[in-house]
Amino acid sequence: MKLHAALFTLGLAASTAFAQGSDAPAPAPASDQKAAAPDTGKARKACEEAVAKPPGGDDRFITDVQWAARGYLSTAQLAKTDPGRACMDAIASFDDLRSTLSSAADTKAAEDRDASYKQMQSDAAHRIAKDGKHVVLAYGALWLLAAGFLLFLWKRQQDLKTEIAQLKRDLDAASK
Amino acid sequence: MNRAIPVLTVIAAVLFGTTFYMAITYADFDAALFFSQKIFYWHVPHAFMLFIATGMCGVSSLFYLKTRNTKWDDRALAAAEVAVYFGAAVLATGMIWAKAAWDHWWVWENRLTMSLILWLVLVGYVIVRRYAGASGAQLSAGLAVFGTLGIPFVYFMVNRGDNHPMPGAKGNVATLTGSMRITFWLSVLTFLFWFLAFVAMRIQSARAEREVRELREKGLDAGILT
Repeated sequence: MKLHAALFTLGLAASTAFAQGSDAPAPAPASDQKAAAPDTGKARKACEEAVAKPPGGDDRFITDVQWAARGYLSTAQLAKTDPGRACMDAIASFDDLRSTLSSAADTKAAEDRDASYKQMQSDAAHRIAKDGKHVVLAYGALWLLAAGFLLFLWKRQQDLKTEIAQLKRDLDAASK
Repeated sequence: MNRAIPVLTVIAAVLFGTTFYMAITYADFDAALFFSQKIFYWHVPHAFMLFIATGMCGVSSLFYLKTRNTKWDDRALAAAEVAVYFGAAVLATGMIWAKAAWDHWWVWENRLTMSLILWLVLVGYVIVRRYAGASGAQLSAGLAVFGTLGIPFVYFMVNRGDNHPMPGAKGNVATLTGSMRITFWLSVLTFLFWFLAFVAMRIQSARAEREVRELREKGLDAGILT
């Protein structure tokens, strides 16, 4: 998250330098230009500063801004804070900013998915290894019990057969 | 009966291996219990066989008390010993499963405690038969009838104030689908063959024991034995 925020800050700084270097405001759609207030550039600066140094040090602010640019988050929710309102205005006014934030959101989502998948795989492997011992133990216990019981039944039957044969021989011998 | 025993044993052994293979490789993973749920395919069928064996012991004992026909006594004794075996397997696999799923070897929970009591009653039956002498048959028959009454308590405890620590253990046989269902019922069939093979073997032994007793009595009467 920190690495990502740093890369994102670098990206913003580059885009800001480009905008300042061109010495002209970034181009915006006609509809946005109409809606844009005179302090749009100020809003962009406030947003860039807030993203570089999120309010309260909360990285979730950066994620919210990125997701608002991607259209996954209600901008009304973002507008609850001053920097959020500034970001909302800047996103509406500057295509390049929206694009940068949006692609950062996609990258972040992909990273999160990868991390989540790897974590899931790791957890599953750990659980299979742990449970595997118990499954083997249970199956082994069943085999032992079954084999022991079979042996017990077979041995007793053999002993009884021997005893019956002996008793019959004794009785026959006595009757002769 | 004698010819059926090897056939039943071979079928049971082949099915045992097949069920193990299917449980490990074919049946789906359970979302909650994950890999340890594989123990379920042996644990629950053993519990079913425990119920069947206990029921057979109780019914045979009832018939024996009513008719005094020794064939019912032989069946009751055979079923009781087989029930002790299946009960021991249920408790052993249950404890191992509990350790894997809940990290406890044993929990004094309604169903587990009732299962243990049922098993102890059956052990009591076998001990009485072994050491109580001639009157042991009637005494143990009464004990078997009493023990059989414990089956519904164990089985229905799952829906009556059961405080089993694992919610997934509640009535999950009825909710099985697809590969899990096929594997489970094949496993039940497998242990049904084991049950039949064991009961047949034990009845054979009970008859042989009776023959030994009769021969000894003859020997005593003839003055050959002392």
